[in-house]
Amino acid sequence: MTTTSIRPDGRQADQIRPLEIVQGLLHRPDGSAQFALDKTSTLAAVYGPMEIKIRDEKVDRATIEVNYKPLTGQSGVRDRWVEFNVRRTFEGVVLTALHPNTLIRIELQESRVHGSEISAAFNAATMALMDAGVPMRTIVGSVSCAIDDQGTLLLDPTEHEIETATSFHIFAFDSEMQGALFNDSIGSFTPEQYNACHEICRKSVSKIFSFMRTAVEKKLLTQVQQLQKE
Amino acid sequence: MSPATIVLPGDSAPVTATDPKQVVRLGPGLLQTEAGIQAVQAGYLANNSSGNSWWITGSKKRYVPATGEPVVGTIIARSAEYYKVDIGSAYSALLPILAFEGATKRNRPNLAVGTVVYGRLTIANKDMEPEMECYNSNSGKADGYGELKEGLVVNCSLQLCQRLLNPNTPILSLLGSKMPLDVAIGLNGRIWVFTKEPRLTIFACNAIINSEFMSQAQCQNLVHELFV
Repeated sequence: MTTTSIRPDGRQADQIRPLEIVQGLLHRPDGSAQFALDKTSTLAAVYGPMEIKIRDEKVDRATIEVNYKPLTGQSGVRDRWVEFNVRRTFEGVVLTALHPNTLIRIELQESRVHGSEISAAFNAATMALMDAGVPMRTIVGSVSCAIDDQGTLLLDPTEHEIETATSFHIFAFDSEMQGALFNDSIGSFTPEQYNACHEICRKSVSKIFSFMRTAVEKKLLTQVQQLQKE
Repeated sequence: MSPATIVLPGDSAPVTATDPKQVVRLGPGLLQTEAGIQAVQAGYLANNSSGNSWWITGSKKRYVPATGEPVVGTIIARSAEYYKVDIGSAYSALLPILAFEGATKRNRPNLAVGTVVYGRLTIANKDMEPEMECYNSNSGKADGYGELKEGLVVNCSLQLCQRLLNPNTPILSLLGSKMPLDVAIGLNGRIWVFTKEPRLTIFACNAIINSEFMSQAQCQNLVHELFV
């Protein structure tokens, strides 16, 4: 396994794409964020805690609803699958017991698609939940990786790299970066390859976390500076 | 204000008491866990002057009711004993018809659906519908609460409402130096403004909303330009 090969877009095998985060860009939702991995970008909006239909009400905690909309066409089975996984992951992260009988809705919209969209969706949802001030146990960061037919591990793969890969892995971690909150692996791979994927994603998710932190700090610091002038 | 510590959910918050005998109080955004005191919201860590109350100030638009807070709401339904008031939280608040100044069983206020009221939350519990009152139940006086006639209600972020209640926030005194105006600030992200002319009311509302991230000098400029 080599980690020095150069990929079509000039990256190293263990390098993630340039990140971009914009928080609070939508006016109407309670919280919103755009998370971009270069040409892959997802927009997230969070509403809540708000009133819920009695049918969906849970008396001891908030209900989380996730809607995932693809870039083009109608949402299908894959989108339901993403919704299910994002919901399951955030049910363990959001402190739902603090807002019983309410609904927290997470809307995810693909805005540009170029591989690893599901990781971008996880990260966008985290940023939007933070923007909405929804109480959370931790923040969630996600990274994907693929293994090509040469056995090379490609971190944060593009669409083309995923198509030609023998296996594709998505991981999501909390800020402790131990174990994983979510994992999905498709294709054929050995246990050693799986462990290597887990390890490389675990290491590189710290870059996502530190970028999230920078984004929040930048947004808040400008506000504090303005307040201090008063 | 000291240089702010910025925390993200899951970070342990460096909360300390200046006097070790004092009880430390945790406000919004902080939670005590086995691992210590943890932040559950993104924002900067703040504490009061005596140093034993700590909380997190971040960005928030959705109101979560808290006892004793003043709110501006709209009546959305009425029954024999209660008005139902939309205050922007997950569930609407109950306002007893007798919770007004001078209200008795014979002399009850007659407010239509759509009326804007200014009141104070008396019950705010995560498991119950919030309840509010439009008078001070200790003195029986209105204390400025009650029906808000005419005027305009605008929505804003929860942080802006909190800051407007601070007398050092410049925008309201600047506007007040140019024209007489009535303002009711609800901590639920709603502000009611009334002046004698609709044109001036809209001016004032826009100025308040736009002042959220402005310094004193910028606010002065804004108000000056409005009244050239």
